[in-house]
Amino acid sequence: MSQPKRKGGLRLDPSVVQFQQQAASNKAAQTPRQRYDAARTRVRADVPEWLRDELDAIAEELSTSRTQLGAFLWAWAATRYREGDADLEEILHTSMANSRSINVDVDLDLDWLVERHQNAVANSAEGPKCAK
Amino acid sequence: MGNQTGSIVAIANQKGGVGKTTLAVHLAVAAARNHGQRVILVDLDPQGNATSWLLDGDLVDDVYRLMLLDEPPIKLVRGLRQWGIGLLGGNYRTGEALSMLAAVGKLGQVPQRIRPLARAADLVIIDMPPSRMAGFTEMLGSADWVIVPTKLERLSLEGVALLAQTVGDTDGPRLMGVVPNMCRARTNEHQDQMQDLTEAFGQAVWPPIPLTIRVTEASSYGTTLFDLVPDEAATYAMELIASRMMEAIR
Repeated sequence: MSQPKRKGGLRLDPSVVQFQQQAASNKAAQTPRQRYDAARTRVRADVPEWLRDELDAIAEELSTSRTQLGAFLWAWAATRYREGDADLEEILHTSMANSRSINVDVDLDLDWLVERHQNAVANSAEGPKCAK
Repeated sequence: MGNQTGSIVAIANQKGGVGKTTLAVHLAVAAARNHGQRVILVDLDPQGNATSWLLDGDLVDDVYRLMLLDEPPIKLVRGLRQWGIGLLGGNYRTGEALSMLAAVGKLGQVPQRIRPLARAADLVIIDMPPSRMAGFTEMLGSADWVIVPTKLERLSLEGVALLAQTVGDTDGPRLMGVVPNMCRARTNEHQDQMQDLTEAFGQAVWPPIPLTIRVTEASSYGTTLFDLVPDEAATYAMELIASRMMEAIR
């Protein structure tokens, strides 16, 4: 049996209701998915192509997504830094080069890290091993 | 007033820049073209913007003559074949006429000059001046209905409240609808203001007209949204509002 329709009361113009449902902040009008998406914190990062490919490859090895892996690695690296395992200040300052982009002042010159990474990949035939 | 056949609808808000002229021009054209009405647009705003819009920049003193000279009102109406409407145009002399009537204590004659127009038309749309200038109440009192355009901002909404109060104080027109204009649905500010508006006026809040540069273009080119951009959201909103107006006066 179909739901009986209410009669009378305040009936706003459908176009007014539609206007109100277009709000980014109108949480009452959002679907659960929209609310979930609105609560997410998203970060975009510029990375070289090799790093993106490497993240994809590692994510596939670990049966996860690039996004999940990236979020984990950032958290993991931030924790290692806070625990004193990496002197990022020195590394960053010795790797900076003037940028040719008008949007940023400096670029990071990470050739030494790329080389180290390539060596690590070459030596990792037995699979990745790292401390937690 | 006896023998009246058509309805007189005033487009009014005591705040300027809310889109009264835009709404008046579009409602007049839509009522004539889409609803087959015989329409007279009366430009009572001394700025004469509606007149300039429809006469390609010309200003005329029809309203001055309507108010002060003893000519039959219907003889002053200009037929605008392009738009399918009649126009009683105005300019700064409208203000002069009203000041003169005020000086001699004859503002009470204003409705007697305007209302006979409704005998010759199905619909008379009045583009009202902003602010309560001399004769404002009398001009408003000539109408059967009032439509209030507003922007979704504090000062314009205060204009709506003021006008609602003026309408309540006069034994004249009934509030037909409040039209939110120049709206941006995705801004918090406009959503909040729309919330306030719907709480105050409920279903008298009519379809919102989205902010678009097309309105500016339409007035620049001396045309309407219906001809310039027939498939845009603002055009659909104008058509919806015209339909709502026609439903109300039938």
